[in-house]
Amino acid sequence: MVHFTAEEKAAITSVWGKVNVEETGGEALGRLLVVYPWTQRFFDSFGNLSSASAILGNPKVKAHGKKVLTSLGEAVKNLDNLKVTFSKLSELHCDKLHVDPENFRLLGNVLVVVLAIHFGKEFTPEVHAAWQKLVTGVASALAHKYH
Amino acid sequence: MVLSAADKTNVKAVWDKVGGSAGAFSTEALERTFCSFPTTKTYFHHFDLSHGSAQVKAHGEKIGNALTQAVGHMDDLPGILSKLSDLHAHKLRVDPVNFKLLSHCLLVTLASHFGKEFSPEKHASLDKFLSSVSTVLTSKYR
Repeated sequence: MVHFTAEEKAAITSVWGKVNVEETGGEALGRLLVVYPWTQRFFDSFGNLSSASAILGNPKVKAHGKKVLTSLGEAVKNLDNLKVTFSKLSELHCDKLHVDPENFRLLGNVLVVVLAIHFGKEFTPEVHAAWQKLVTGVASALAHKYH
Repeated sequence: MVLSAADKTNVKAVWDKVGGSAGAFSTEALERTFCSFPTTKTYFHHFDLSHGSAQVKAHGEKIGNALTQAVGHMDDLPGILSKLSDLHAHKLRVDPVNFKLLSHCLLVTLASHFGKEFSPEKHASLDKFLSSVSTVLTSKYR
């Protein structure tokens, strides 16, 4: 189980407090679909994904990105309890959505890049490392119920 | 995976902006790699890995120079990286998984310095470029 130090928790919550969930969620999901186009396989119903600008401007992408990042907010509030927090979502992603957990790792890394874009120098190696740990923990928790 | 004309344009544009800081950016990427992915430090047990280490800085310069060379020869990455490819295969033998980790941290470094200018298109092209470089560097492993 992943364990966060007091410093890591502080780094995570301090960044989270300044994140615009709607904007950042849309951007992270959008970039996932641009940088790793094969991830579009899960979003046939989303309409126009034909170019980077189409993807980033797509209202369904933005809405879904917001949903995903709101869920990450639950992780931030439950850092010591990720597996339990994501238990139902894990079952959903396996049984209903059929998403390969590798996609959680890809999205986690894209989110880290988006945070770096927004926070610039403030996203120091130490803050970055805390967030890598978080996205790894969330990816792992989301994969935990797979069978 | 092939680098399109647009990818090459994007990579050159980003690297032009990096300018003379390729070494500094690579050093920062190394630091981020060691910090986020402690297992990567196993390859540098003989280094002083503390913040500001001269050894890490020198190593960052080496990586920066190699990447600058690669950017200048995107039509022949196997050719320009041949010696480094041999080195990684026969002497360094860094496990292939680590190239993804350093590449990711290079992207994070570029993102933190260039902000919104690091557009989704540039992000995608750089990711492809670094992936191609990594593939070449591990191509002679077996």
